[in-house]
Amino acid sequence: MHKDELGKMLWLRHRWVYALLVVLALGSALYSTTTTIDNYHQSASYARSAATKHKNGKRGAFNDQKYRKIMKEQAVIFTTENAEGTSGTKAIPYNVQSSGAVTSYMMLILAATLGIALVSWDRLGKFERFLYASPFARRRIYWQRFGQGLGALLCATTAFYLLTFGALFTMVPAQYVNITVFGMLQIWVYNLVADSALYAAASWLALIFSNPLVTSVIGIIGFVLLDAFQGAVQIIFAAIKHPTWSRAIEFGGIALRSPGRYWLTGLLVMIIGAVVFAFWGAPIFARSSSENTSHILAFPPMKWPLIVIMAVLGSSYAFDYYDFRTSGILVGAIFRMVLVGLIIGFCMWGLLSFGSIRRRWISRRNAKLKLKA
Amino acid sequence: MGLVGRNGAGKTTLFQTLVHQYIADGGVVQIDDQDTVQRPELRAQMVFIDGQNLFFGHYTLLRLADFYQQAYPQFNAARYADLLREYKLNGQRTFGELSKGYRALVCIFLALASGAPYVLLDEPFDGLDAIVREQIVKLVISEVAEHQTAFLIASHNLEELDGLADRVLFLKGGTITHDYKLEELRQQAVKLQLVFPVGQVPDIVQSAGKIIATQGRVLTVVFANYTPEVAAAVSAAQPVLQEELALDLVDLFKAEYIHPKNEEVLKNA
Repeated sequence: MHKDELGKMLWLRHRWVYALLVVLALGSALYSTTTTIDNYHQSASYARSAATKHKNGKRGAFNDQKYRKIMKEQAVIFTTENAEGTSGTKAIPYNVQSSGAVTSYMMLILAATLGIALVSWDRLGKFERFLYASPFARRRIYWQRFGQGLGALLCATTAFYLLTFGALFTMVPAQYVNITVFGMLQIWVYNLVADSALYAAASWLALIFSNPLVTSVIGIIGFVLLDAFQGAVQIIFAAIKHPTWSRAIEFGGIALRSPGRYWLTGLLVMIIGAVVFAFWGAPIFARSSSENTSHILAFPPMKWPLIVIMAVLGSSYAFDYYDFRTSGILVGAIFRMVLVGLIIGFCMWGLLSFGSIRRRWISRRNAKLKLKA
Repeated sequence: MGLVGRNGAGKTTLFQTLVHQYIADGGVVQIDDQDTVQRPELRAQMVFIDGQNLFFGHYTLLRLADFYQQAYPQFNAARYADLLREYKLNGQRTFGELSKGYRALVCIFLALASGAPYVLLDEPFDGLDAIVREQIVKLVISEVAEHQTAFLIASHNLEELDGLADRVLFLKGGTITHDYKLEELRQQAVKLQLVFPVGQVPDIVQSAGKIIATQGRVLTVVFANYTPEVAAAVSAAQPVLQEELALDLVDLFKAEYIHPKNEEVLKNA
């Protein structure tokens, strides 16, 4: 069987999802660009009125120098002048970040949604059954679908930035969009990688949980907990006066939040994350059975690692949000009780889950023994 | 070939395992002694279409063919279109718009057009009217005659299967318990209606036969291997009434799955 036949089959199934993805990406680019351009016009309007003095109830003369000064301070959308910025980077200035163009949260949401949609829609829509029964190896199906989705995502991200930068350069005077080609490339590459990493992570989650709602909820909880975990570890490293590791882990935890800082470190962490999730997904897909199409774990052995991860992240979440220095003994005691309760709760959940796994395993073993007999 | 079993015996599970939708706990699925998991391209030789459990709903009938065309290299799109035309089905209609009977027909059209030499059909007659059932039977028979396609049909409709299958597998508790070749069986097996003197059910009836029904003192018994020795033993028991009835697949099904309690039989006898 040729690869392109599988590709055509997947394309037939998913092309509307890809089209919708690109349309949404362009729509969100249009929205954010319109807002940015609107901000520019508002700044220009403000600068114009500030540069025009009012005197004795009559409009004064327009002060061009003053106008330029205000515009320079307020209306610059992208600039490399303030290279250090408040975040201290030379690669992407702070005010580029704050404009919202560096990390498009909309694109990140779309990337995660795409990862979940492709897997869950195929599974719950029973297309996966057709794929399993087809004469293609499961790993090939997985990689082909993953690759096609990734390609669509890269197209959507590229379209997003083409529209964003294209609209800015055509609708705002060049001196106020002061960014180098290298800067734009950096932004583009950064987002391609960030979107791909989130797409891979979301696909991996969807392979385990199947149900898109459960996957989304678990994904959001996991993301928040990961953020907290990063914060907690950062506190520890800061406490032991190890700023380098502290910074590195800050980025490893949630690189998406602060792209201006540690650009390369963030890129590297996200690439590693994407690769790990992508390669981890292949054996899960290959071992999946259509019997597990509900909201339960499609891959029961994943339960324990997930329980451990959730327990660690949950504990660190509580740790991160507790300020020991300003609270009294009572608050401290309550905090510890909550923390212990949380850990015990996770363990109980784990034990119960283990019970069900064990029962299923015993039932299967008995069935096998019966078959042998 | 028919696949017969009670509800929950595992007929659909067996099909889904054969086509690798389910992962087997043990064992392998082979075509010509080759593992279909190791060589997935072999799965193109086997088609199983369960329309209710696939993605078909929102796709048009012609679009469904596009999917199967990619998966099955031997797919005959012209034949599929001909079948649609023959049964006056508009290719632009979606699968979900069709009645249950036509959906079943479309699944069979896809299976036949796939060109796969092994076709698995799961309850193809379930809930269909007599005309559609007849059409399906006609299609299956002509396919076997013209293309040497092998069918494995799981069905509760034993009357229909009786006219279609020359071999029947009985599935019980996840295991194939019997493999009957119907022609041979018809030569060897008999169904007798017997009445014995009060309080007696001879041992030969219980050892060589299976009681499938009791009505008062009248026993209906299936003897799977009615040899002259068995016939002699039955006659020796001096039944008050002995009458041979026509044997069909339903009787075999009952013989396999219905076992009236001995006490009940004895009480009635």
